[in-house]
Amino acid sequence: MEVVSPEGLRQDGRTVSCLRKISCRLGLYDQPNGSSYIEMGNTKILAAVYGPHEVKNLKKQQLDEVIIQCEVSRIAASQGERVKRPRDQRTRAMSQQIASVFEGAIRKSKYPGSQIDIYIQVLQSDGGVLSACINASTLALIHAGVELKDYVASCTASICRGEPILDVSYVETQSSCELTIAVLPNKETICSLHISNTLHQTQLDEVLKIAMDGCQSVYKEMHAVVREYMRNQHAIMTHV
Amino acid sequence: MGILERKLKTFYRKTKKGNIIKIVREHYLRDDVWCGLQACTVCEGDIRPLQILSEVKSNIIPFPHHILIDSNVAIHQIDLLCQDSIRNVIIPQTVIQEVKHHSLPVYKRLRDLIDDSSKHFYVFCNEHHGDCFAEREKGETVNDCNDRSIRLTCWWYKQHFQLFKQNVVILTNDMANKKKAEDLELDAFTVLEYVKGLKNAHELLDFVAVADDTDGNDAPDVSQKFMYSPHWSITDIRTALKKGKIKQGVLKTSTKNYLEANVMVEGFDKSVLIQGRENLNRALHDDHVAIEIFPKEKWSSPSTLVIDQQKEEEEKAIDDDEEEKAAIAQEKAMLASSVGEGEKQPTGRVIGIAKRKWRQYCGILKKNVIAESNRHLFVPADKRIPFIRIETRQAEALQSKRILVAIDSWPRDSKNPKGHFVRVIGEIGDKETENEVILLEHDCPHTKFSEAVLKCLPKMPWVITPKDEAERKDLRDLNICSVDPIGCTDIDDALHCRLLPNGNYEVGVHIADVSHFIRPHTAIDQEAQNRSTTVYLTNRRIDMVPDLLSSNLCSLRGEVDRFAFSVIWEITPETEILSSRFYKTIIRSRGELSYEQAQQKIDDPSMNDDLTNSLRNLNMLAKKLKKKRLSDGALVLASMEVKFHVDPDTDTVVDIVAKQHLETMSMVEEFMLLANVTAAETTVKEFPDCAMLRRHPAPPPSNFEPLLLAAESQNIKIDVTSNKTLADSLENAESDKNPFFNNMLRIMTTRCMMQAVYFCSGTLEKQEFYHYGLATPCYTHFTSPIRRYADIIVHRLLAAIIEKDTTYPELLDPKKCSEYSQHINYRHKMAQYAGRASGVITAITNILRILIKRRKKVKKPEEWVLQAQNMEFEEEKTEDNLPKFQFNEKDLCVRCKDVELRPFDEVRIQVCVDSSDIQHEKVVTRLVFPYIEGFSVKSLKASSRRYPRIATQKQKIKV
Repeated sequence: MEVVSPEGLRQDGRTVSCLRKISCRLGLYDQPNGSSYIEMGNTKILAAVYGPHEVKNLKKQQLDEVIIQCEVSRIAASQGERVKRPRDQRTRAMSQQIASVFEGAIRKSKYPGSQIDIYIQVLQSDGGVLSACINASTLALIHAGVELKDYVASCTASICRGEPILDVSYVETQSSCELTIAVLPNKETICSLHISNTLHQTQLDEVLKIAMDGCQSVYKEMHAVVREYMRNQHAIMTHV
Repeated sequence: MGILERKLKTFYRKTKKGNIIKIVREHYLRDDVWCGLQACTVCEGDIRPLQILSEVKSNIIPFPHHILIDSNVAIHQIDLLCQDSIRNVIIPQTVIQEVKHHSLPVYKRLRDLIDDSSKHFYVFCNEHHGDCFAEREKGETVNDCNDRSIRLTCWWYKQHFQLFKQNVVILTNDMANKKKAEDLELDAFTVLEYVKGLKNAHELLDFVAVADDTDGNDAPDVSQKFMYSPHWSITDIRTALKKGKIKQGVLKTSTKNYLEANVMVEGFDKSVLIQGRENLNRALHDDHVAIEIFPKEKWSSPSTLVIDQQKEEEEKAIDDDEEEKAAIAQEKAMLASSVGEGEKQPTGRVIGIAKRKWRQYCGILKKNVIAESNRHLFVPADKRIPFIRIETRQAEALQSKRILVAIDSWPRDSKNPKGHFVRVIGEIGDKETENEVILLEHDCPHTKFSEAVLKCLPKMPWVITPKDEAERKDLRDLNICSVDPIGCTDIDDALHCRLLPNGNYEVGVHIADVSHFIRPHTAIDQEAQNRSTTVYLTNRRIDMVPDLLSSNLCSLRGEVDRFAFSVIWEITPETEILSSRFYKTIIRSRGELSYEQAQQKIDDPSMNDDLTNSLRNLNMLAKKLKKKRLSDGALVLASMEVKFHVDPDTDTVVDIVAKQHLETMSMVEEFMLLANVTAAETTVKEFPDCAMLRRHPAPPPSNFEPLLLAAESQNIKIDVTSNKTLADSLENAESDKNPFFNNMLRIMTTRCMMQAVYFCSGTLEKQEFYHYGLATPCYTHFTSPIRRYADIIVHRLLAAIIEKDTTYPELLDPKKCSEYSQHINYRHKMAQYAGRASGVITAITNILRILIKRRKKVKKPEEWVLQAQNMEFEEEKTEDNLPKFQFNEKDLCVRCKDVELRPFDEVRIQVCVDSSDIQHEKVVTRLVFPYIEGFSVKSLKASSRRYPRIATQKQKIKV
């Protein structure tokens, strides 16, 4: 399959370094402490955050910091064919990855002895599910007022015929690898990196670079939405 | 700048399980899709091939204009688009996508046109342009939607171009589309109208393909005329296939009888025979067809008749329907009467064609008897292809030319397919023309390298950078030299050998590092992969990679620094291999030797320099290696190739000699074999799933039958249980009266062999890797990357193993590897055939002159009947009322009156050229001794039936 045409456009009409359309919302629900919704192209994710609250299973309690739990599930209509099991090995692996990303981003010592739960629903998937889940979680955590060191912005990249491409859709992942990174955009540090399929180490640098740039754009989009939300809530913004 | 709007595209697709799923994809519209006009001030963008036009070129369009084409025009009129005078064409993205979907070869040609800067073709991404995107409406078919999108594009261009006083016309052969375009006030024309309207472009008319997309299926005229039965639609074929009512397979037309074909289908041991014009139902050689199999009562066996179209057509130059009908009936009767007696075979008829394999055909024009008619018949060089009806106004000029013709359609009511003239290849008999015909007929890509390919070449002057030096092992101080035939310019291997302090030898084989220059996914890589091999004709070489690489940068010439991929062994004097390693290196060859020079150096005791000693050591080791190999069961086969000595000044052949064999040749060969085996072992060990290997299957016992029979007639026993026993019995087979007996036996053995093929190691079991001829458990090609693509893949795998290069997904994909190897096998086979065909032609054009020369030297040309099989042609002669030959299968002898011919008997022959059929000239041999009355004299007409291949084999073993 031809991922990038000789005219320089991808199948959906994007250039190599162009993100899919991102739109997001904060505060969809009242019951959870924080909630958010994000669309990255055709990938649609809903996230809800409960906590910080008491630890339910006392065996797991950490006295000096907070514990983070995450659960990802897919709704039956999230793919072309009905999803039979909402949770399987893959979503469980994804849950752990997301939890570990936020281990590094939440100021854990602020909430000693308590627990934060992140529940994620994949409403529709079309490539880049993991990165959309991370972005949705960030927004939900912000909405819940959990203290973060920085935003966590995530996006995917790949390489096709020697040319790095940003934010791959499902069809594009079929013929090449998918690299997902999560970064702290203001600190410019990577807190998670995940590659499906193989990528040669000599190509890693260029793919990583384009993905880093992509994360910055994702961050800008998210930040604008958060600011807009805060303004609507008559909150005072100190951070520019 | 960038994305304007997001749309969703939905469509349905069937999964492998058979479920139908809905697929939703995003579709972005952009505001930076540019028009591509050179002087456009509104648009940006760097690619601007479209020129500002000012000249009115047409009689019917009173303004200068650009052309916009629709999909069908692009697919069917590609030959017209290739013409020089068609320039400034806008191709909407919708069109190029449809072309790609429909036919990859046409897509490739179109892409080449777009890359050609003199053609001014431009691809406009209309589907992502805000104003030109057509969203599919309810109830609208995909095709209608695409047509609408193309019309919108044209409309947009018209508006846009008004600013610069430019205009655009749309070409379409679809009347409904044309009407709708005119409703939009666009200038729409059919191709025929447009070309007719062009000034001074009458010759262009020949290139216009006959507009007929319906395949003639719904021609309503059910009069008395001859008609083929209609073809089934693809969907009908699929459902019937599933129910098992019909079968599918590839049609192979017989070379002897163009009205008879075979199809191999599943579930039958024998191939299904399709006889007669009506049952063939417009299917051509190589088409994928759906067939219906007749009930058992109707089964029959192949006809014994040789039917030559040429002869038949000449007898009845017909253009009249009535006569045509009669002729077809007559033809039928003839076929029915000629049913052979052999075993019965299933028969059937073609009911539909799943995939056409039409290509362009070489041949000559047969002028219509009615002088002023434009309709002519075209006679293809390939005898399996029916005559093609074409229209041309230049019949007079094309009389003595070889031309290329493409088939457009084959309507039900037409006896022959309809086509159009593509181009002139050249004058009949001209060497260049004949070469090109060979290349075209064997499907060898031979055009000049495109601009995109040449762009991939390194800039000259090419220098070795310090970075290269750091990455590579420096072997410039070693005494490396290359040994090749005289006049070889693509030197891809060099050797060295030195004595190590511990008494062992270090031997290195250095192969040109082509994979350094040909990177995966580049245009040059794709081109090389498509060509797969360099084709050698007697007086021309068609390179796989551009000349700069093949005879310069990758050629390991003397006294210059070159990149190499080296394999270095440590070998004991007893030829035990202690270690082997691969390196990317820089080498400097000390000399490009010829086989003869190297041999002289070795033989001359006064020479004692390092290079000579190294050669002597190599030679010594090679002899031992060969002995070891032979004792393992490797076969020594003979094929007695002939070599043409060509005078470079006059380009004529001076002499034909059998190729000589020198010790140095087997020295080089031995080490190349060793390098290949080492490469095969290394790659298969590291990449068990995706190594490209070469195997040579053991022939089935039935293949050996002719050899065994022939040997028996001379009372010699040959044991064919394994390659080892075969090699041994060949070694011992001698005949006192005939010094060439052994050699001829080996030639016969060669013909029993299977073809060696490339394959992907992941697709077969390990024991099937075996190479029968070389007696090695696994083998591949590593030593000639300049002229074989398989070697480049092996190089890439090896480079990945030694961590000097990266892999890429296709390289490690067993499925892809398998696809590549099949393609390479096909190209290799075709290149081989092309080389042979070229040899025959050279022989034909030169044989008379040489024979005259030779007669002075050799008094009596002698030869032995090689194989009684050759006599099958004599059998046919019964029709011509010649003396009857009886062929006795058991004794393998041919009897005629009181003369008896057995294999390996001495005969004397005459060689001459038969040019009665200008498309198939042959070398014929005539029997001189023993003298058979009525045959040896009248032999001219009779022997013209002989095939050139066999005839030249005879000529090859002339002493």
